[in-house]
Amino acid sequence: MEFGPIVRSLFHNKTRFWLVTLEIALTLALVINCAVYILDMGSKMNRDTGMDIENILVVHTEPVSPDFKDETFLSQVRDEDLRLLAAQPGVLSATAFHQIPLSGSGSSAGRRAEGSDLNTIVIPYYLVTMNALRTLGAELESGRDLMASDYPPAGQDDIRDDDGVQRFNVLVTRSFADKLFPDGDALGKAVVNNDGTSVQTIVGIIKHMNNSWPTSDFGSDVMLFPLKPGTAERMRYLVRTRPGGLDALAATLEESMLTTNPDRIITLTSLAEVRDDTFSEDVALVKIFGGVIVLLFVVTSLGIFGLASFSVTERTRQIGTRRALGATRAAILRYFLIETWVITGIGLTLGTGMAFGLNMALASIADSPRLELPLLLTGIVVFWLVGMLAALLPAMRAMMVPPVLATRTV
Amino acid sequence: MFSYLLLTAWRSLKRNPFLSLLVVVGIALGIGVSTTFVTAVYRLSLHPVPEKEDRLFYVRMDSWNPERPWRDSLPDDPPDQMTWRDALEVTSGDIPTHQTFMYKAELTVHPEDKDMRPFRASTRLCTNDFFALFEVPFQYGGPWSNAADAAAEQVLVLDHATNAKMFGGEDSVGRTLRIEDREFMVAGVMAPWRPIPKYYDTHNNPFEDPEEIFLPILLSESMEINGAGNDSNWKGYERNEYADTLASERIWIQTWVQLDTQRQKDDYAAFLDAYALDQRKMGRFERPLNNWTQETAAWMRDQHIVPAEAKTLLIISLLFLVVCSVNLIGILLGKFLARAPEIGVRRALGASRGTIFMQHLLECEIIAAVGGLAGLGLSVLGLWTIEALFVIDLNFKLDLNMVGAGMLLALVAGLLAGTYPAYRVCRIPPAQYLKAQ
Amino acid sequence: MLEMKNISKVYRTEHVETHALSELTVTVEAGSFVAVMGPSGCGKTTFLNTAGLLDTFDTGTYHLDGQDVSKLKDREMSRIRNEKIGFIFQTFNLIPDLNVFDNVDVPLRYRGMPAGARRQAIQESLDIVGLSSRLKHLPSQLSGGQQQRVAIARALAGTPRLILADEPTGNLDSAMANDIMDLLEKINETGTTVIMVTHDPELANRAHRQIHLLDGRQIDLEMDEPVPLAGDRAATVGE
Repeated sequence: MEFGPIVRSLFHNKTRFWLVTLEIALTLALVINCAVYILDMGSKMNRDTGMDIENILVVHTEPVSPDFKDETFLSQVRDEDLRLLAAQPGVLSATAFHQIPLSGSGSSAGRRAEGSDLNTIVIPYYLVTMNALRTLGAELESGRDLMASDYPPAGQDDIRDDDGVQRFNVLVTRSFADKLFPDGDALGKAVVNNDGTSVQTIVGIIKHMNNSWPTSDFGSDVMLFPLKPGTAERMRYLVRTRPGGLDALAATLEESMLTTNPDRIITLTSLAEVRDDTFSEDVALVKIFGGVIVLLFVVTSLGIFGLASFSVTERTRQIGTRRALGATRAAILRYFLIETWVITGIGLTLGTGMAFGLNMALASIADSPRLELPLLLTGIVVFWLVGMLAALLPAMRAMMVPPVLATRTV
Repeated sequence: MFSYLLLTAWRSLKRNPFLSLLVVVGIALGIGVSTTFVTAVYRLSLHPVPEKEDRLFYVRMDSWNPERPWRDSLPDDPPDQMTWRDALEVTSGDIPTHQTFMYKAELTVHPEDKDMRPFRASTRLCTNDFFALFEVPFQYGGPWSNAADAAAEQVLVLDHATNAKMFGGEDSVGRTLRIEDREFMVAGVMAPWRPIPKYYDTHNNPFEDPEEIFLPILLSESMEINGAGNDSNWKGYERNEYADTLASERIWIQTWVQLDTQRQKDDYAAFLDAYALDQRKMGRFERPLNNWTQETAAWMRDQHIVPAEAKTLLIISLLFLVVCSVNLIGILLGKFLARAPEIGVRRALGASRGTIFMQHLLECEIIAAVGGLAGLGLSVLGLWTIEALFVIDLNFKLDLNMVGAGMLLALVAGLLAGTYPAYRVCRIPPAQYLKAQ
Repeated sequence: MLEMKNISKVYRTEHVETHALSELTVTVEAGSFVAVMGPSGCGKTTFLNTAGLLDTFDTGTYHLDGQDVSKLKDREMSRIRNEKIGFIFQTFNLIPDLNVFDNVDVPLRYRGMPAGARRQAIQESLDIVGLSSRLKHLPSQLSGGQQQRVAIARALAGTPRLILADEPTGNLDSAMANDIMDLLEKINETGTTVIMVTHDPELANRAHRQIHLLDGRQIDLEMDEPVPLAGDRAATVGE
């Protein structure tokens, strides 16, 4: 309504207005760049893992007896364990894994498409016993699951052809299949290692699952290997229960497993806990960035509040005069809110430029994620509201200035 | 005069306590946030053994795949660990003052006390020079002997906590401990020791505690102890026996040397290259000669001990302080100019511009000092929060350095923020506000 | 135009009770030019504040332009001030950050007039005070007399029925004061009622009628026989 005069009045020798404008601009730039991190990490953490993580129990066993150095003994215990686990009430499926997905630790190998000159790429893999997909709750997109005949015959730990080349059937995820076979025809094709001594034929494609490093840029690349895992140091199982059955299983499992073989240390965690552990550092960073954002808002709100307060104190008489000239209380309130709105607006406009500048600087120094427009717009709207709230109290004080102040001398 | 200025400044602060509080809170937040992150990043990037800063070297040799570099993204870098055979060889000469090769494993300890369950202990396999190289303090006994290293005797060094757990903290030197299927004799017990980061091996978690048990590394050959850290391999091998791994191109061993003189450095570099060229004759080391003795600080940088996010937070926190200072300028300007009539009177009564300027600058510095103190308190809270969130021990102390740095930062911020408002207020002409309006 | 009956106003602080107005009864005819006089502290300004709806009173009735304004809400009082009354203050009370044009514009904005009408009203009232060439000047760039003329233009722009002037010449030298008085007379001639508080008998004599206040009451005096007032000009500065 009286936009013009307010803006014109702002531009007269008001160093303080420019300072607050600068403060708002800087704050916006900082807030937005903190939020960029939070969003980036949030989107990584909330990604679909492709697994039924809420209902999967991770069983670590660490043998403490030298008996386990004997391969036959080891595989005997593994088979017994798998039978025992599968027989527990509420258990859908159990599989031995040599490493645990989402855990931040795993194995990877280099593979290229057989007969192509594409580069070798890194592929995280898991040695698994049967029913891995069922245990993970991952979906087979095409082809078939691993079968008993895919595994080395009893007493052997490898499958080799006459030339001594290692040959296995494997499952891979769609994401990895498309990297090596961009035409989408990976099923039935083979991948080989660098020197051609190990060849794997893709017999099934998994729709989607994460590997041990879910936030990495190859987080959905997985190869499942039909090789029975387990060493004298450790054996790991994943056990999938019916929804809600995990706690009941965990309560009794250690005891029953120790009955089969007492010479080991057993640790139980849920796959969800494993994931949370892997993300704990990211969660901590999100909290820190969030805290910095809150503090920035606090400081800048103080600044806006301070400015508006002075602006009111300094103009008490002017407010009285305006009231005398017919301004209603609402008009006075509006005046100060519009003034803050304009200052915040100018600050936010400047801040938009600074936000992009800082983002680029941080990207070059510390590889920060890119700033997206919707985030910036959200930041601007939120900031505008915060600014108005900070100015509300002083504006209400202005509103209560009585008109009689106009005739008071001094 | 100074005390009068101080008094005037103090009165003026007291006159509007709410506003003064606002200003102090503003500056305290700025100092709190910035000193928190400055301290955190400083602690993380501190050299773990400053007295050996330029004498301690991590050895890296390029024994990798002739077809492609160890890391496509770092084509000029040799691998970050070494093969068993190379590590063994390059630490067997007599050029370095101290040298060791080592890896991390997990072994099962079987307590004598039958009520205690066997447990997995983090174990480091290394040579006895490890303790001199990294200046490990001992509470009882000391490192095992050279002979014990050479003969792979069953001796060990316990860390302080494990000695407390197994032997009630007593002098356990000479007593035995059952690990896996063997009896070991305690050679020494370490005093509490926690380098931050755990710079001698940062591969898995650079902020974890040192291992609980230290054993002579050559025991690996007979006990067939697999590593529990990172390992990588570019060349497949048939693993029928443990010895196959030791002879393979698998990299999983860390190698450190202490080189005190330039001569030692030159000699050792030449020694490494000669070794690599010698190996090349046997069909290994086919990549271009690229062997590093890397200074600890550079090695820590390569290992990203200070994460990228920490640098971002450091920059953001310093800009946060700028925001707080700008905020301070704005509020001080308002506070001072609102006082114009009083300044007019003071000027009329003979206060010079300089006096008025000093009075106000002093007021700013009082605010800054109070804000700085409060900010240091906040930064202790902030550092505790960071330690709790990341489950690390920054081992920070609110010492003279930190207090000094925080207060200096606060006073400089106060000076920078206060100069303009103080200048503006001292330029107020005495006459203007004396007339009745 | 203005009819006050038995108006009383008491200011209370913790220890003191000040009767600013007590049982004041005043009537001002439409179109007249009235000077309000009295010694320092006699209630002149309180009277003006009450008349201008800047302040409320405790008891009594007040009709302005035929309307009972005794018990109006703040919003309604604001509207009457805006539409029926023009204020002229001793210290001009121009808004320092606004130029001449924007200052005169202030009350018109509150009335919500369209831009074209406002511009015309501003131009006309500045023509009357002879400052139409200084639209872009800031108050600080004008002399005291000029500032007061801008203030008068501001009071006139809304074509009020009543002008209330509080010591309009108090901060001006006599030449300028005369100019201002000429202007007020000119405004009065167009039919606008003018009530002016002053302590200067000479200026007061130029009004049609004088109201003398003492201790918050009106006292009757012969028109042609101004009594010497308690306190001189110096004493009332800062009232």
